[in-house]
Amino acid sequence: MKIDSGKILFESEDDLPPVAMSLANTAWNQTGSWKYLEPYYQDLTPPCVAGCQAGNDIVTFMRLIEEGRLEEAARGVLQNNPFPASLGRVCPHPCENVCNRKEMGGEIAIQSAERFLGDYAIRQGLLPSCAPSNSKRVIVVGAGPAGLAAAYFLRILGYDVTIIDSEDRPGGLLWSGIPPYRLPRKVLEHEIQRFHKMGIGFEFNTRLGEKTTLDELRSRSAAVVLGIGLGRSRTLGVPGEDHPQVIDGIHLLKQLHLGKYPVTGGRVAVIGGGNTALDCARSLLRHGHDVTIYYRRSLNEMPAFDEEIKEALEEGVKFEILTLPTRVLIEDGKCTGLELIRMTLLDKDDKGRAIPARIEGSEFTVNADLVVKALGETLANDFASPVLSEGGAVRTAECQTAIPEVFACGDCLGNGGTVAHAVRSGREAASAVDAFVQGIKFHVPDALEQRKASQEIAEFDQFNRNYFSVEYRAFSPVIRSPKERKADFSEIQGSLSEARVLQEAARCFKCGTCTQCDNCRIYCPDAAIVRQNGKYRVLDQYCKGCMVCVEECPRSAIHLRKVEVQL
Amino acid sequence: MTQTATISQEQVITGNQSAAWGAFLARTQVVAAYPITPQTSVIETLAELTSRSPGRCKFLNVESEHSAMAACVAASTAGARVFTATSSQGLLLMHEMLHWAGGGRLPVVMVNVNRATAPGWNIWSDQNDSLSQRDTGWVQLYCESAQEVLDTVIQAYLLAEELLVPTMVIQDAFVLSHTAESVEIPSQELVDQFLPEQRFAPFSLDVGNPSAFGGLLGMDQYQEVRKKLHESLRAAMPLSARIESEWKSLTGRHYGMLEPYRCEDADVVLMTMGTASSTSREVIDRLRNKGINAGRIKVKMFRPFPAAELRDLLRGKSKVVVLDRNCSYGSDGILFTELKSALYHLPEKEKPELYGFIAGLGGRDITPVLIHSIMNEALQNPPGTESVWIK
Repeated sequence: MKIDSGKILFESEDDLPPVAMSLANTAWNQTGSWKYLEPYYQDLTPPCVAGCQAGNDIVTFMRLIEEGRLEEAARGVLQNNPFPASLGRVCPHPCENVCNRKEMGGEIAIQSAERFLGDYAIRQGLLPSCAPSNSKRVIVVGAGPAGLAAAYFLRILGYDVTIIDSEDRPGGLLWSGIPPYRLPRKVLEHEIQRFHKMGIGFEFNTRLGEKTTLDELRSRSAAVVLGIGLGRSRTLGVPGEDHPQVIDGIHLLKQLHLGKYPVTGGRVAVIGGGNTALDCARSLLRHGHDVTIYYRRSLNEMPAFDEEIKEALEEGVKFEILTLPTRVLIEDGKCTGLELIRMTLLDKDDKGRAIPARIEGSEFTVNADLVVKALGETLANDFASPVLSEGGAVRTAECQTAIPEVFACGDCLGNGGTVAHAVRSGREAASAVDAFVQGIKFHVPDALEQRKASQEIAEFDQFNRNYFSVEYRAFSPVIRSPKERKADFSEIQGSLSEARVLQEAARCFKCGTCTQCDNCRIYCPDAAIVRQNGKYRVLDQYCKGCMVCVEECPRSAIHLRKVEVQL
Repeated sequence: MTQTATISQEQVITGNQSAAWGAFLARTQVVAAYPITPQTSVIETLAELTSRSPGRCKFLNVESEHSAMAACVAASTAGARVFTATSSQGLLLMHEMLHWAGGGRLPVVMVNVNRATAPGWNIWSDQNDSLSQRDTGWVQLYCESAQEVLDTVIQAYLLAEELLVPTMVIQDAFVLSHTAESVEIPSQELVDQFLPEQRFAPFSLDVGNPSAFGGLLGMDQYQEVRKKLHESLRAAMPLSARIESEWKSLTGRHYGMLEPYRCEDADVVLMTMGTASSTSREVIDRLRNKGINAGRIKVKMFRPFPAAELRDLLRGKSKVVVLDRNCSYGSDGILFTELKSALYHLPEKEKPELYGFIAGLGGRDITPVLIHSIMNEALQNPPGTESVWIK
């Protein structure tokens, strides 16, 4: 018996074993030459991550939670998200709407997991890891969510950051606009505490244009970021609007949160259909008022979050839809109510929203002691318009204004409007500043890019469903009864327990993400997949391109491509 | 039933119980079986015996005889001493796996209780089930008594493990499998002395030195490897002689792979397999009393077929009468055909006249009267070319 390049050669019948059996391995048989297809590992973008404005790498934190590595999970979240405990409460969670788990037991409770990690980070006093100071100062104007986010990411990048704000406290709309029953003050305070611990400086009661000027800020810094919000409420344009009993919604919320309760009387008419309108209505309800929301379209068109509308209805806020105020009724110098006109909906506009139209002659009146206007905002700062050149330069991805070292972020750019949008905008502005200061190409780092996931979305249809069974979503966190919750401003919704969060993390498909489940390696009929340092490698000389690995990957992290023939 | 004794003991037990005792005393390590009448009590008895010695034997529940043999093949490949028992349809269902055990050179020992094959359903004895498996690479040993069954099962392990061929020990349904007779059960010490521990075959599964088994064997090698199987089977006859003489020295019992009875001076010789061999002894004696020089040869080993030995025993006899409890449909009685082929090579003047009879299918009794009548038939008539079906 001879062995020639790994192959056994029998020289006589006596050499033969009595049975068909292997006497050597088959390493000589390089089946790799058979293939015309080859597998490759490529993580895709999970739909939740694509849907997350804040830029959370949801799948990564779900994997860490599942493995019980809570601190790593929380630290990972903090690196991409300055407000996980807050967003875990107030975000409308578009991530969950697109979750691939939906059809197999319900979408994953992603927001509850984010909230859990945010609370964990607070409890443990965790901070994001920041680069050492580069001694370059950036001044951020506005301590609202976008300005805070910009400052946060700039600090992570190594900048010295100072935030100036016209108010006497940080948070902007996070505290003045969001009622405590949705975002408890304690949670917000803890999250803002983190900024202090990171060494971010604050200068309060400093209104740009009054206490300081843009030129002065520019002289003190390498760059300025404007996160000034909008600040001017839209008006109704009807007679009587200027009456002192007709007040602005954002102003009202702020006064309420400051403990200055400016209202008397019982019946309140809130005009508008956005979150501010709902927040005003529900806050006033908690102060014992009889509140009706007047909105010119129907419930379906309301821009407020669905949950807010649902909860407001449960609590007893009345809705008069398809109505538009035409006049504030004033008798003896006092506001007594509103005259309104019925509306009807016409075809949809190019944004897909139905166009409301008046029904002539349908005017009617209602009684109200207080009218709250919550109609949305426009840009307020007189200086801002020329700097931001609305509709102009600032709308480039680089966030740069007409003045090169002045950047902008958040609502003043008119993009989005949720806290998550503000976080994204703040991150973009921080990257823009960094690119400008360092003279490098503008680029917003994202978590998926760091782990080299492609931008292709992982679709449920691509998964091997044999590896997943229907598992039901963790029970919803406890929600207080409407009767109970409208009596005070305490938080409505409770947290998921750690056990439930772990259950949700285990239920998560980890779409398009290799979890080293080993299926590919185990099922490879040619033992052509090896695992090294937590990664898989396909041995080109043995992979015959059967694609069993691609088929058996539960979550579409392996793909096939044609072998390019080298001529 | 009593616990294993250090000395041999006599018990009145059935052929099936004997088979179980044989497997038990041989220290069978793995049993995978599926119940079928009339085999069931083999496994029941074995289970009862081994249950008193925890850890001695592993029983596997399987869902069919095919799986039973597959499990035996696997366990045997891993180097375990294995046992199973079946009958009729069960054996037929195993057919593919019988080839696997044979081609895989696995020393599996199996007891088959000869039962007629369906359709029509029939649970009684004939030999078509096992004879139709004759080409699967198994040694086939046909027994006539409960004692022989016990002894043969133990001997079969020695034979199988020495030659690396599977071995089938065969007994007739009911007349042997369920008939109790006095059996001497050898002591464990005696059996241990006779049958050493299972040796690992040179090609047993070894996790330290892994191999693939039963893979592709190309046209340049297949025939040579199969020839080795054939040659190993051919060695079973001489090896059996050695094994039997060793057994005889320990127990005083000897059967022979061919058992001639009063054949030396016989002119007419009857050929039998299974329990008809016992019945025919009586008939031969009566014929002798009438002055007819009759004899009888029991063919115990049907595979490998002892053609040369039979030629020597039958050379120069005037008539040979073959009793087949089987039929190769469209051909003839199976022993008749095999014997005809073996005797063809005798010189013309030494060639006996050959008579074939087919009887006892589906459990019909083979009585002394029946045997007597076929002997008379052969004595009074010239031979035909084909087996005669008689009632």
